[in-house]
Amino acid sequence: MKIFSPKEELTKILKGESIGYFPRSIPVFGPIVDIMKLTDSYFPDGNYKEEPMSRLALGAHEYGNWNAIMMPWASTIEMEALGCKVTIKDDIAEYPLWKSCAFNDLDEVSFGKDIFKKGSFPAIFNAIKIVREKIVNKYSDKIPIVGMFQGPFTILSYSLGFDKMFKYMIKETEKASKALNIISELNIKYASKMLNCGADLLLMSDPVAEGLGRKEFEGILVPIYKKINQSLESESFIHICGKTSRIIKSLPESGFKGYSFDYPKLSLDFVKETLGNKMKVIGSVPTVTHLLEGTKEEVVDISNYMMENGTDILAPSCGLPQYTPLENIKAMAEAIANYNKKNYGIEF
Amino acid sequence: MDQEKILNNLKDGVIKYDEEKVISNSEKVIETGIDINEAILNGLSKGMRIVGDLYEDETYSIPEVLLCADALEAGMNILKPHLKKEKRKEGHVVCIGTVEGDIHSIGKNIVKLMFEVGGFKVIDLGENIESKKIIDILSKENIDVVALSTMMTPTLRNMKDTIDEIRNKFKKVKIMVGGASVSEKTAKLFNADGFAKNAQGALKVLESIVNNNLKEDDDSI
Repeated sequence: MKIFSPKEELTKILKGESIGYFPRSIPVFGPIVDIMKLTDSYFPDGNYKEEPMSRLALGAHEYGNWNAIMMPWASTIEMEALGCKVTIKDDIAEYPLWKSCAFNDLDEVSFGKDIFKKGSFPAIFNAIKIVREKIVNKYSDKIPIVGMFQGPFTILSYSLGFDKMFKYMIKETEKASKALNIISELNIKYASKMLNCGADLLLMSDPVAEGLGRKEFEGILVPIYKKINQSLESESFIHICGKTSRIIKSLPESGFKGYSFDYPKLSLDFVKETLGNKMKVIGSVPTVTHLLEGTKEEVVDISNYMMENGTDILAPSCGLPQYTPLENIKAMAEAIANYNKKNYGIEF
Repeated sequence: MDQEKILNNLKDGVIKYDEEKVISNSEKVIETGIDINEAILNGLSKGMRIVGDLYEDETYSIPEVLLCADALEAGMNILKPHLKKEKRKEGHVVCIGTVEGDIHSIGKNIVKLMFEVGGFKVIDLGENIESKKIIDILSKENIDVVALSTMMTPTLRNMKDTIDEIRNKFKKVKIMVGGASVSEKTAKLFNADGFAKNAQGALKVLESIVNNNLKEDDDSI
């Protein structure tokens, strides 16, 4: 049996090609304190400075044994550059905290040419370049870098206020669509820059879209997702956490190749059945009940359940809580290795 | 217009997020002297319960629920000043907020409305609330229960820190928690007194906390 590199595995799976065994990449990540200690890289610098950011990103592979690197991870990156105020605490594990909106209403939504010089963008681009260089030199370019960005609905919800944005989706549909299209241009430019810096694949996370009904999601957001995908020059997948049963049926129209879902808010069977063979299923080890609060054995059990019942790529159900024990992170990688050994006789 | 029709209009106005209909019929409640508790329970609140069902069966999503909540609030603003509080709940004050770092307000706002509909006095601290602000309000006001919410995993620890701080300084204050990232197990680990999955459950949990407190008070006498 031909063995592919983790990068080839992930790319092939998302393209819909078979690899003959279970892919080793775990493509959704967020720094945990155990890895911060091991890499001597902490927040807030890990979110704003290229060196600690790159060390934390590589830590997922070097200490967690995850065969993929997802970066960056803060949910406030785009919002901060757009003008939202954030609080940066002097706390080793605290993400930047959203403080206030950037815009008062939909007509104000815009961004300048210098946006990528603002906030943490410069550090992110440099950090991706550093990680790429280290992967090429240390790991023969075999580990994929997944560039993560926030989706347009989430960015606008933070930039305008959640209540307002949800109501606009019913009361001001044209204006909302126009503003979301403006933000999608930011998405496309940002994603392209990450690819130019060395990212291999893209993950768009649009968690706030969970609250939408099918009509608004399908009518307004999916065409925008489609436009984003048509402009991206790599394989991409999407993460929307929570109970997305209202909107999941429209997801295959978006052009994303995989859907990272949130178990047990949705069951694996339901996701498989709904997406059929139109999208790959990614996930879903629960972050709180298993990775944060569970034992290593519980993490292995749920990982096995996911692999045995048809997930295509194993991943946490959402962003990792910062105090997730390293042992539970490693347990996911171990579960994949044992699954491949047991079912395909492959030892990596 | 008879009472039944006015109450029905209040209910329908909430369900169809028709704020004008709710306002005009709330004014009619006052004009015609309909019992305010009756108007809230069998008009506005009944409508919101049906909205909850419509959300559960996925007919409605968050945008509709928010607009329904706006209509409910418009009615409550007219009726509340005339509300005779039930003696059992008189004096019970709840302070509610979303923990620091989290700006999700929708669920919290709906829970707040349910508490008000249930007859509690609610102090809404808003979203993204630093623990210091909660400690300040607890020092100044006579608050029985603090209700905290978070939707995100990165802010879970802020919830725990806030609870720890409250516990250290205010032994008698009860704490209930909720939000998408909070499980029953998390609530126990965080040493909360109650956990609710949704807005309707939240009112039941609050009532149970308050009732247990009353029993404890009775026992101690």
